Amino acid sequence: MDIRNPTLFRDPPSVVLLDLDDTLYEYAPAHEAGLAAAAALAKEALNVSTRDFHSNLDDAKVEIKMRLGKVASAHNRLIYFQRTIERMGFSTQPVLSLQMEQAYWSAFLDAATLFDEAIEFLDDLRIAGIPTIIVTDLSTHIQFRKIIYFGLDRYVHWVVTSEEVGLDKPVAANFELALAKLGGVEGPVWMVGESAAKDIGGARAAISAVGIQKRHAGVKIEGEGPDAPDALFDHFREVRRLLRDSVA
Amino acid sequence: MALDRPFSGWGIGERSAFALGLVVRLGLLIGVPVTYGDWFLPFLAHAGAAATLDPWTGFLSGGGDPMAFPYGPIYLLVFLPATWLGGLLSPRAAAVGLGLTILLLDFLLFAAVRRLVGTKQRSFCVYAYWLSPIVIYVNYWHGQLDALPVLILSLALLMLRRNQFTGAGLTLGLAGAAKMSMAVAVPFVWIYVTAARRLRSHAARLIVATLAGLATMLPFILSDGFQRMVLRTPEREKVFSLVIPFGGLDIYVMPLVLAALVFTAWRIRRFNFDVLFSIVGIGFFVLVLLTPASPGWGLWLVPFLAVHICRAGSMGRLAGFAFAALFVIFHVLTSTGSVWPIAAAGFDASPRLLNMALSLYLAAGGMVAMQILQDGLLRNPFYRATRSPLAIAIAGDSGAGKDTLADALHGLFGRSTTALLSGDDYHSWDRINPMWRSLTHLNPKANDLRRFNADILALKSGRPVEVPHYDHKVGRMTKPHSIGTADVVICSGLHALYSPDANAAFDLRIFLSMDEELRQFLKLRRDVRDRGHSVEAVRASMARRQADSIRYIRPQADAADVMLSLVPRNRRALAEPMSRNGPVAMSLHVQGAISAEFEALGRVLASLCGAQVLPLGGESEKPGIAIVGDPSTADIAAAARRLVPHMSDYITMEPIWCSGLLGIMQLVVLDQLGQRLALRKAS
Repeated sequence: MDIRNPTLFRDPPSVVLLDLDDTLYEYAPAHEAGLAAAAALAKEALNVSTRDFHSNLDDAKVEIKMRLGKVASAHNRLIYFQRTIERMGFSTQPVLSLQMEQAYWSAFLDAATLFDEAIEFLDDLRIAGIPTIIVTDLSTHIQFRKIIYFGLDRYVHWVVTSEEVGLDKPVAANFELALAKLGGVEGPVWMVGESAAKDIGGARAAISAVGIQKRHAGVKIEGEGPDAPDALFDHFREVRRLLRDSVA
Repeated sequence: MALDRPFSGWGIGERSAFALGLVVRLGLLIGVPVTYGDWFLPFLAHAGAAATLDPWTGFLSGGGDPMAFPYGPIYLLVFLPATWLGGLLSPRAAAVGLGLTILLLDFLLFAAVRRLVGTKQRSFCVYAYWLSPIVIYVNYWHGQLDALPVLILSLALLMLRRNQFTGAGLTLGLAGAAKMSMAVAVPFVWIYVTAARRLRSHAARLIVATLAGLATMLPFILSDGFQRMVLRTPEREKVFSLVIPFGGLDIYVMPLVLAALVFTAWRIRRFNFDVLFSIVGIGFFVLVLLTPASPGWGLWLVPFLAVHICRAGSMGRLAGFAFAALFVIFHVLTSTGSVWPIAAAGFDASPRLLNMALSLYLAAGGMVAMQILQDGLLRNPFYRATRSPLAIAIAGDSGAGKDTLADALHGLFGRSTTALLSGDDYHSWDRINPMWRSLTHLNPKANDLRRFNADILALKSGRPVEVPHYDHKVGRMTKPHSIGTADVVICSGLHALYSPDANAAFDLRIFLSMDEELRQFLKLRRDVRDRGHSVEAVRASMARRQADSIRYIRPQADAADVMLSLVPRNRRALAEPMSRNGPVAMSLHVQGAISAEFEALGRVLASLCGAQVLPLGGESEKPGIAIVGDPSTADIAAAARRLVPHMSDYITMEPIWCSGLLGIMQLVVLDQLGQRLALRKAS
């Protein structure tokens, strides 16, 4: 645990906001497994090589993100796969697009595992009576599926997705809606997330949250500036201890 | 991520314990254990310099001590490089090279044992293994090289757990080739793969691989020096130390007990990996406790002891640590090579003290072995759940899909491990018999239910049966055929849940039904349109059967643990049976005693399979869930991994998963069976 601003952790949080993807579970292996399943389906149904599938998918993603901007549907796998199939020279294939989306998410969830002691951290918060809110990009439907799959709904009180806000994090409305759902809050707000700009910087600018960044391979850490975290952790055990110490 | 920061998941206690263990090890490495210098180093120096495939003969002809290195080529391959390189600098550096090799093997063994322990108890492994007095004493004080064969054996067991049969066999053989005593595990592993039906098809591969691993020793057997130094060691005689005088001759106790254990393993037949691991561990305890063991032998017990300590409760942990401490105390008092610190202190142990130390060490060892037997075998959930075959009943009206479900379960549990008993084979008469004019098949009197029940109970008790067979094509009974013993017995039939006595024998009772309107729709469409019968005739036949269905078939639902019903999603689609083509969209209703039984299932289906799951349980119906969805086989396989990971020991290695609602039925059965086995374990 690397606590950069110890004074911010003297009091326990009044509420804890949490990012979902790549913060509570590791995203990369799950995403890879999902892509492999979708590529396998493309090969079986359309006789398209994995390489062609991936290159068309990459192009489709760029195209869709350019067109839609930073909104939840810009992450929608169904639209990615629809456009990928179209870019590969086929017309729109509704059945196959849906099958590919389901194959992707099923393999994704099958490969996804929560970080060690993430659940225990949420349980500590529950016992301490501290409300928790997941603030996440992406569409509500798939985020709810993930939350149910991991059993997070037993611990988390509220969920805010960028689909209901209209724009992805770091747009302030995401964090403001979270606190509004709670009916306002007095005292420190912790934001636990892995993204320096979206989670740490976004929540600090919007609601003056204390930024606690999850660190693992591929995560960008800012040394200073608006996106620099107030504390960094590698393992949820560390943030559990931080909570225990602040409550004590 | 694990590679970025190997200790990132470790708590402060674990880190400190690891650091302490490392400091102790390095400290002891610096004070050279006597055995290195006297025994192994001269031989390794000779082997490095001679650069021959047979250093044993050369060493002896040069006047070397025959006791210097009682090990074969695998030991030489592992221990030579660092020792020889060190020896180029100085004899002291050679000892350090040897010590560092042991440290590396010790660390790898620690990693292997951590993997053998389940994820939940893994964090305790640093105390059970890394701080184990036996491990530190044997490797760094007494200076034995047994970490190598124990590591190879542990790797073999890890591969076996992952069902890598060729690799496991080869590694097991190599462990035996490195150190003969490791071959104690071989009969148990062979029994594991041959006795368990679900693994049997891989047995030949594993056995051949084991023999290939053992055969790596063969070329060296021809060497005279190898024979003298490695094969004819005095250690071998220890096997025959404990005897019972018998009519002027002796009975060798240790081999006798070991043989009894092998026989016990053979009788168990239904194994999972945990049961095997416990039995192999007990085998090593028998070997070590019933012989005047050398200190190095203590290390053979360590993987089993450490896993036991990690998994055990406080009493088990206490006994485990007490045994480890007593083992070391006894050997410090008695063994050559490490007695020097005691002797230097001017301490001379009396025979009484030594006898006491021996007795206490054996008592603690016996206690640990008993605990492993109890926790690892007798209380093992799989062992307890599989003392008799699993029996599943599928009852329901004709056309409800009993055979389809039975077949789907057959593909799940494996063709070679499952016996299918069909109620159709117990119809009392051939089709042309005039009795059918007065009775329908649904009437219990039209079936030989007494024989059906007797056969169910026989199969459940593990006895083969001779069953008749009803040939639907010709409508006649054929000659009886035999159904052998099986791990899973699936009984499907119109009356599978009709007799209370047979019902008590089932581990899971399923009642399968189809919405009445849907059933009539499908039957009319098939019989009228496809088979050319008249609508009136089909309706009349249905009406005649319906009375019997209400009287004899539907009441069986009350005896069921779970009800599976197929219901049309849109009733308007059933209006025109003759003109409507294609499949009818259906949902699956799953109902049982309480809704909580289906909560986990519903969550997995909704999240992983993207299915719609709605609650059932109005005033007039049993609680449960209604499921709409079309999951693929991959979805169902992934859902099973999530929902019932503990059931993997029960299903075949290559299960045939179904898609759609049938796949969901497979999941329901596994989930229900898992819940019921858990209750059976608890009782």
